[in-house]
Amino acid sequence: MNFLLPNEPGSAARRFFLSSAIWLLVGVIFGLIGAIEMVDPDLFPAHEHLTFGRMRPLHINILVFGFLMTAFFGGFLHVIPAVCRTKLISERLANFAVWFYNAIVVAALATLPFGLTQGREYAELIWGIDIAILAAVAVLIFLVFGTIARRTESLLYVSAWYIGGGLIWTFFVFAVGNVVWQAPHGSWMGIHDQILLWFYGHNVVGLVVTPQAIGLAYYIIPRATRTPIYSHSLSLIGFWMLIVMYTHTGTHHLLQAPVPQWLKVLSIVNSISLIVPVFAFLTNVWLPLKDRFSRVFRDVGAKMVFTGTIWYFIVCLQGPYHSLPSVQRVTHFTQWVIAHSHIALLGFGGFIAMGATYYILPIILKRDLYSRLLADFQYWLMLIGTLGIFLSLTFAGLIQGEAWLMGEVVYRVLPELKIYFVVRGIAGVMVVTGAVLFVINVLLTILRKTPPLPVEGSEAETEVAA
Amino acid sequence: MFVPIWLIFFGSGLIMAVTTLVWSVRSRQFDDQDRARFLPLSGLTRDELDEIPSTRRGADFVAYMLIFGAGLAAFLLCLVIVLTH
Repeated sequence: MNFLLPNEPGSAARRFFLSSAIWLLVGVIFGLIGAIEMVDPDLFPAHEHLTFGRMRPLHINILVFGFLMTAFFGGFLHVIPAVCRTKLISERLANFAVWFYNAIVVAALATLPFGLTQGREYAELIWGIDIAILAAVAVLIFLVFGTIARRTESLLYVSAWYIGGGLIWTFFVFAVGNVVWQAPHGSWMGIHDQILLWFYGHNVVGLVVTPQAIGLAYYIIPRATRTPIYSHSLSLIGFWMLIVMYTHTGTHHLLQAPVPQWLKVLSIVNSISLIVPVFAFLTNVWLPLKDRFSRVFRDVGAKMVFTGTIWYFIVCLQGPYHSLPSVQRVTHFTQWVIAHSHIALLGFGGFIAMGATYYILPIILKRDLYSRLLADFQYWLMLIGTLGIFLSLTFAGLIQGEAWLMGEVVYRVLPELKIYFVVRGIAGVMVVTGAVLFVINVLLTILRKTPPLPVEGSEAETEVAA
Repeated sequence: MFVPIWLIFFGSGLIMAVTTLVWSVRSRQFDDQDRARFLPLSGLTRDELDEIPSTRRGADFVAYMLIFGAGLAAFLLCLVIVLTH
């Protein structure tokens, strides 16, 4: 019982971080298999469960629900008590959430390769797994809000707003997007289904990954650099703007479909307006560092989180840009969009998830990382790999878009793309290697027995209020 | 059936958002915003706050410029194709 559900502070966060590292490795291996199949489609002719159609949903679901969410959950279990100046409401329940949530990801792994899918992009998981995910998120909502309710600090820091809001949005966006009241197929009819699907598909990034990643970045960057954010009021304006603006952006995926015109216009206007909350966040974490930029590099975790914010900047310039119909004439249905989603989930969300692991894990364990050198090497592998994926797919997408606008037929365009898919595969090998190093470093950091370091802030507390 | 379910979702979201906003005003969450900026630093000792940071790492700075450069290149290339077709 004590091994399964320990009451030791930080034990659940530690386990979430370890499972996140393992799911990252599993997820990117499936991604690499899919990338190789883009070059050699008949790689596994006798194994239908290893075909691209099975690998792609597996890759996405394992990375979103396995890698990103578990890292974010681990981060919440540390950050929420820290900013609320209290203890987690129940460490045992948090450990239950670790086992339950990981069982869900294993269930995804055991169903998708065998064709057990609802067949809707990003919402492939079968109904029973959908319900289990909602139950797990409900447990996390209880843990986070229960801890917030016990806080001894009256003011809620912006991280708590984003993390609490992010979990509530995750629950509702997931339930509605997966049409969970329509068991067992989890879908609606006709164009209504597509509107719901893209409401969900886009909000997986915008209202699930984004607020959770931003919530962690708002805590890690100021603390690691010993530099408060520029303006807390601005951060809350960003939070409320995200609520107002993000909800209906998904329909910009359906500009060529018979969707009501008002909804298309609303989705484009909202997509452009998202520049406001994005720059509210970036201003808040970048501007205070103008004379203290070197402090970012002191901690490898903070460096990764900061790199995630730079990817966020690129992603959030691209997003509004290619929501415009004139730009979509070139980019829609091409590899450009795949490049964009890779820098959103791996560049932005992934780097913040890995950075949060590297920053918080040593604090929980009260000892240094196993190897800073290994972490730095992993950082460069991941960075160059992500850049390689982004550039190769972007160029491939622009060639596709240009060729189709010129009236060129698909079978004559495909050979032109092969070299870019080869580059993407090589970049994928770098990402997989980085994930191997991540697992090794996290595992050895947890297993290593060294005398504890002085804990950050363990001596007489300093009054830092202005 | 689609519209009623959507309205229930939309309505419950709106009610939750407005309730949260009202609660945050009544519990003075928007007061004392300058102190709120410092909350993530709470618990750090004076030594930890004053410690001398490492010097700037040139390679890391180059990496950030590479990301900006890649994003800008993608943006401009796409713009050229959009404007010429």
